[in-house]
Amino acid sequence: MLSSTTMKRVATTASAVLLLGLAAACSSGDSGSSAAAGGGGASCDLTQVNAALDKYSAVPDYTDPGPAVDMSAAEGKTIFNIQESSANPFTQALTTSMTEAAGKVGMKVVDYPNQGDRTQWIQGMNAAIAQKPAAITLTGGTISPTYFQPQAAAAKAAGIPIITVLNEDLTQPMGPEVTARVAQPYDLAARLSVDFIVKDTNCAANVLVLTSKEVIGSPASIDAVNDEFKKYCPNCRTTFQNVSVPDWSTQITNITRSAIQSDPTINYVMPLYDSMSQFVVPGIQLAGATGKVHISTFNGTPFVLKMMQDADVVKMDVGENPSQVGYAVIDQIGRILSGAGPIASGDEGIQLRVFTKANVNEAGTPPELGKGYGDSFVQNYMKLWGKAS
Amino acid sequence: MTRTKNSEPATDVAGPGRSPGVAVARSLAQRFSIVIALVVVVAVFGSLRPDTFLTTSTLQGILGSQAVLVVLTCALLIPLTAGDYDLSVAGVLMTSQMMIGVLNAQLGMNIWLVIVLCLVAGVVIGLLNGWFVLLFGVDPFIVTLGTGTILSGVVLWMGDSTTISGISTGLTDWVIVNRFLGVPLAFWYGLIITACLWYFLEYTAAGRRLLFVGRGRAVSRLSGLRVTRIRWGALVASATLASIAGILYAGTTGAADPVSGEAFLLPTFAAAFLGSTAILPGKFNSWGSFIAVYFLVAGTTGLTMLGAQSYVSDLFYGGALVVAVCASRYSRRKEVRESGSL
Repeated sequence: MLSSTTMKRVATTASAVLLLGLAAACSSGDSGSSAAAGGGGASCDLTQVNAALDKYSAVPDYTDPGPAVDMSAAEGKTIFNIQESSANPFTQALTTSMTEAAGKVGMKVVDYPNQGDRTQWIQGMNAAIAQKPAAITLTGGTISPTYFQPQAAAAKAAGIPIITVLNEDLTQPMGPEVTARVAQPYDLAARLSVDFIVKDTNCAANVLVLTSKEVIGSPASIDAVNDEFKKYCPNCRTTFQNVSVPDWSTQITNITRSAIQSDPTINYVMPLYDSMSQFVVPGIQLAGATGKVHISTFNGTPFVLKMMQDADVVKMDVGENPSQVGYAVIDQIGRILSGAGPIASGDEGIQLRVFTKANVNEAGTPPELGKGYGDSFVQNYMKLWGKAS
Repeated sequence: MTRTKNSEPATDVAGPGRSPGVAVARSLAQRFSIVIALVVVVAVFGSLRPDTFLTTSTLQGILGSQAVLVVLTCALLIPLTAGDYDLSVAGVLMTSQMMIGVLNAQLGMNIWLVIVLCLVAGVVIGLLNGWFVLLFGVDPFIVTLGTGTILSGVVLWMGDSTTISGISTGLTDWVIVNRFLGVPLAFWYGLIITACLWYFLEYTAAGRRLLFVGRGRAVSRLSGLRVTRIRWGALVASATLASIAGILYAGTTGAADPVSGEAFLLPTFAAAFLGSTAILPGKFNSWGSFIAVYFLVAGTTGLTMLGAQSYVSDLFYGGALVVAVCASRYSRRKEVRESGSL
């Protein structure tokens, strides 16, 4: 039998081996830093990035997603909606706008409450199949039939179309058993975030990019970030860190602080999703880098826009219009029910707007979800559906 | 199931044929094992990244970043010492944080008044926990799991499932912006609370009674201790300290959100159990947990500076906990067996 002293030695040695092993793992880890240090100066051509930023800084224009559609087949029908979590204010806003748009064409939305648990999603699918709605909508960035394929197949067999809402980028393939989708422009949003960083640093950016790969559109965003930097600022540096959503509160602050202290030339943090910002900001403060390190991000969540109004850390946030998304979903469902078929790509022209200090007050003071994008899309959709007064 | 294990007394015994000097050295090594581990971590990462890890700013950043976890762990240590689990601490933290978001940021109420209300809410939640546990004789594990879940729902309702920013800069200034010796004030609050809890548990009659209740409830009752009242007090103190952790959390992030606080629950238990392997091995103790928290964050900071992804930090965090607790338990059992063979 080992003595306790021997045991302690063994434990200490094991700990040291563990530590060294982890250190070795780090050296080959997926830190994803690009090669050279930030350049900037005369070689920095901002023409393209300025053009993109100017275009998306204005109130977005509406474009018809497709030909006019007869919505009479949709009247009196029910949509069964499952959000990724009923506690998510963004998907709640999408559901609200979907309900509003449905009401305008005589449809009804039944929302299945859940707390983001996959077993609840499965229960929701079973409940939907039992109720035989005209369509099932899966709303949010993390919900997909991938997680309940048997139930999705059963819905399809029962003739109930499944429409995913904002879970995939236009460049990504559609999920299994999905009839149609309203795709999220993750790619474009990520490119705009990069463009702003390139412009603001004059091609001398060193960026910590925070990702959450369980968000279905994340791979598209990551590819877009790499591609956009390669195109417009090949000398800019990027370091990627993935933090899963449940760990945001316990890890992001520490990761941000450590990364900045490890590399004091970092001048931007780019959280792919702006709700990460509340944990990034204290990380910047703890690193003593307030005023030196800024945030460029995506989503246009009101509390982050308020952070932009109140301080100088969040410099840019690409907002998306949740109010329009509800109309886009009803448009896709109307096309399916009319027999014309959905817009295959899922491109409903979801509106994005670049918010900076210059225009953030147009989102309200304090900012409100869906404000700052104009409301011309409502009348335009109504015209498209033959419902304009 | 619900009684926590405060294992054998920390007194050390020289085994057969061993000199008292060896026993003392062994005892010291065990008591300061986490400190030694912390030194090893600093030495390893310091040698790998001397230019960034061994800097004042990194030290200040490490110290300033964990106050919420330190205070929440202190909250948990009190009922653990009394032999009870409190799973509602994260729920209380979120309640306190969201009260600040709603009352201060949304309704414009004075921040210091809101802080007082948060503390009152903590006391009330602790009283309710104690009421269910002690008057109805329900398992505290179940009751606090239930109240924690209720509080999660209340927080979602209060904040309308949204994140609220715009918390008074008066609070953020006094938590994370203002510094003493270059370290955010939050660290010093955590340090003071840790020291106070240590003093309370080690040097006051009430603290010793709490420990006796945790070690042997029936014996304590037969000795005339008011076990019910002491356990109730522990739950109230726990909820009140958790409420303070929530105030610090709101001051750290400058915002209140309805879900992220839940993520603190498991790290808090990890810090409490890891801390029980050192300083006073076999006993939940605040300095042990304090050092454990900073050992873990020093490790994860070093790994991040080396470019490790966050999952490597999880491996370190979980691995350190399992190795330390297993080695400590094995060592204690071994020593007890050896002393029994004398």
